[in-house]
Amino acid sequence: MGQTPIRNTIRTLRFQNGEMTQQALADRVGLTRQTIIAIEQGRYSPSLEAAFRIASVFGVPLEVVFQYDGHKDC
Amino acid sequence: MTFREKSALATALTLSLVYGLYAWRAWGAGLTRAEAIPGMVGVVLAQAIVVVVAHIALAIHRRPERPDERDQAAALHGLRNAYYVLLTGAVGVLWLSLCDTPGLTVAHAMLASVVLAEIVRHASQVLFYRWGY
Repeated sequence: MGQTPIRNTIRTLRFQNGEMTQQALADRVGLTRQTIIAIEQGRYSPSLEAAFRIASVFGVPLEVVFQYDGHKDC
Repeated sequence: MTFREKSALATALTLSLVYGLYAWRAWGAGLTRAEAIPGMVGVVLAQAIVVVVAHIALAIHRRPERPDERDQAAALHGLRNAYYVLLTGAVGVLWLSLCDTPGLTVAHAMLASVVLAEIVRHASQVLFYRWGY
C-alpha cells in the first residue's frame, strides 16, 4: 500500500471529541467519508487547506493532527 | 467504494472487455475497409451503451457524491498516466503512416492507442483510490 510520509492523529482526536464519526468530520470539512478514511490510513495526503480545516474542527494546532515522517528519506 | 471509484472500475472493465473482444475477433480476420467500418462503429456504440447502463445502475445503487479534492487528484493522476500512453500511441501511428501501412491498420492502431489510454486513465484512478498511487 502506498503510504504517505505524513502521520496523523485524526482517529484519536475523533474519539476524544465525543466519538465523532468519520461522516460527521467529512461533512464539517467538506470532504467525503472515503477521503477521511484514506487520510486516516495514510493513503492520501490532504491539501494544506483541508489539513487546516481538520485541525480547526478539533480546535488544535495543525502539528497536533499531522506529523511529517519523511525526514529519514531526505 | 465511492461512486467515482466504482465508475472508474466499471469503465476500465467495460473498455477492456468490449475492445478486447473486438480485437480478438478482428485480429487476423483479414477484413476489408468496408467490412471493418461497421464493426468499429458498432464497438464504439456498444461500449458507450454499456458504460451508460453501468453508470445508471451505479447511480441508482448509490447516489453520486460531490467530488472533493481527492477525486480531483485521482482524475489528474489518471490523466497524467494516460497522456504517456496516448503520446506513445500517437508516435506509433505516425510511424505506421510513414511506413505506407494500410489505412485500416493505421485506424486500428489509432483506436487501440485511444482505448489503451482510456483504460490506463481509469485503472490509474482505481489504483489511486485503493492504494494511494
